[in-house]
Amino acid sequence: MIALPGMYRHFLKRAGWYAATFIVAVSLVFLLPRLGPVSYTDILKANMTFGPMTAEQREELISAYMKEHDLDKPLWIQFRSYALRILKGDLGKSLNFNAKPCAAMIGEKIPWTLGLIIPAVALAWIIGNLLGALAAFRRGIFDKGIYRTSVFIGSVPFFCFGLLLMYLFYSLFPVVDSLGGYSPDIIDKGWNSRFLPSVLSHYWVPFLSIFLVLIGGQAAGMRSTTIYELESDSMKYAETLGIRRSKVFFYCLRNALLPQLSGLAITIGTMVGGSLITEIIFAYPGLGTLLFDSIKSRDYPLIQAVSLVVTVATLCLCFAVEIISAFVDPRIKASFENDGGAYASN
Amino acid sequence: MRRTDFSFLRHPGTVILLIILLVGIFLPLFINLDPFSTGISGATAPGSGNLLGTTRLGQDCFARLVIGFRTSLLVAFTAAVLATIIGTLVGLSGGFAGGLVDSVSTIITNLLIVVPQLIILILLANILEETSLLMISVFIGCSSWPWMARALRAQAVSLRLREHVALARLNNQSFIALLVKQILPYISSYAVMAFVMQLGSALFSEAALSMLGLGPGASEVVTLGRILNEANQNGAFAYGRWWEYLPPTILITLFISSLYSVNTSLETRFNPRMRSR
Repeated sequence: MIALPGMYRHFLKRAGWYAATFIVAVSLVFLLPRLGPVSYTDILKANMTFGPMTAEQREELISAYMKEHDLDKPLWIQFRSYALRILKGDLGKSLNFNAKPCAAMIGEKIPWTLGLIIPAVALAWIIGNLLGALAAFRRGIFDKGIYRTSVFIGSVPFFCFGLLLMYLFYSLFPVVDSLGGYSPDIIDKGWNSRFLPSVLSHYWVPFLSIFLVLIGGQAAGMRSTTIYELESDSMKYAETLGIRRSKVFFYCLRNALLPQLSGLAITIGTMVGGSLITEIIFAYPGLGTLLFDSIKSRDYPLIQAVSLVVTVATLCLCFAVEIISAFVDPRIKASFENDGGAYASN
Repeated sequence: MRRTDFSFLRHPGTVILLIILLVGIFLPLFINLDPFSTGISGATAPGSGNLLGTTRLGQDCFARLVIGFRTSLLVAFTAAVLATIIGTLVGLSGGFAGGLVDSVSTIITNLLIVVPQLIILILLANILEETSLLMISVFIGCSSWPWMARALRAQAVSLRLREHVALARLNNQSFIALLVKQILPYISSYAVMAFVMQLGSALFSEAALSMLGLGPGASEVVTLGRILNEANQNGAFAYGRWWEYLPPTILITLFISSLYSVNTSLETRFNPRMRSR
């Protein structure tokens, strides 16, 4: 595939935009907790828990913490040291849990969250688009029955649908024995024959509650795009030529799918937020639950670190979707040849 | 003579919505509901004296549901009004004025669309030690307008080039007059629909925020999200005491879904091209 210089220039511009967004996000995460009426350092001091120790030891630890994070200096020096730390991958230390580095705590949780979100979004995108296209193309049972149902489920907030499924599978028909990502009595968490089945049996309810809700939105978008495509001149021409219906459907699907891909980028933020809450209700051991615990214990450095990681991950996902859709959609590429990317920059 | 079309009243979504709203708003005026006082009964299942059972602290679930819905609705309404105003102002002025105003507002809008709203809400709610209901509404309103601004900007950009706008400009109408007289009539139907959607999303945001434990700080306040949060903390999720979390869940689901369907029927009313389908 030959990519054109104009397209790369566009990507560079977009990368610049995302970098700027990143800087704004870092500043917000740094600044917002410091805007309140109680000073940031006082909040930190009030919420530090280092286990049993004497008052002097405590004072010493606090002043060491303050010095390490430049919290005794003016705001702009604090920000400089905060930003420099983040660029080095140091997200600060948690106030609780024996001052563990936030980055390590987040690192432990990320696989759980990604394992939940990425398959759910990818599968919902595929199934939702197929369903939307079929609803537009075949009508009948697809349009009246399955499509309507999926759009109804899609209008239910993530965590509400999760709670409904929880009632169904934990209370009414108790098929899963406990909340969480695995049975609480398992100590050896590795690739072994007890842990993995337990993880799988705890996986599917949270997964379904994200996946099923996402289908509706995708299907609705796809249905209207497909109807639009079906009424276009090229499709009508193809039909008058006597090209097989299945082939027309395929062309139509291809044309309608690509805008759906770029549309995915702007909805990722909502999906991420929704799945964080879903994790909380199922006590799933991912970033959402970590965020919940950090808010409960007022662990500000950890709240800030998780917020930042979630934001950056969302930015990366959006950028990735943008790049992929530009490479697979010939219309975006063509628009760079003709009018400098008017199609891509909507 | 033009007759007002009341056919939307026959829509099941509208009927459900009206029932929910009427019961939620007016029921507390007729019967005495006490959502706070605790009892020694502990958690009891529905039917045994209390319509929807009691929480672990012995609080009446039905009273909590009705009062909580009322409070949530108030928060959602305030937030939706705020978001609609900000969204309309930012979208219209950006799209209509163009130039620097447009660039700045587009950058801010796009930025807030990419960053998850939940994260912005968490950071905002952490500013204050104890968050009041009003502050929650303001936070939600201030973080949920970008979608609307984006859609309205696109409409304003296309409207800007219409002939009647050019004519009004030639007549020396002021910027504000242009916006109000020439642009707003075209936008108002969309703004109404966007407000309906904002109402649903604000109710959801309040619930999400409260679920995280960042809801209204005062102890004498109950919202739908707070009921869910306390159900979680009380172990209602883990021990399967479904009556503590299922009714608010169903209420939120019904409310938001019927808002969606009302929106669809509004869309077919406002957009004649969609009526045939």
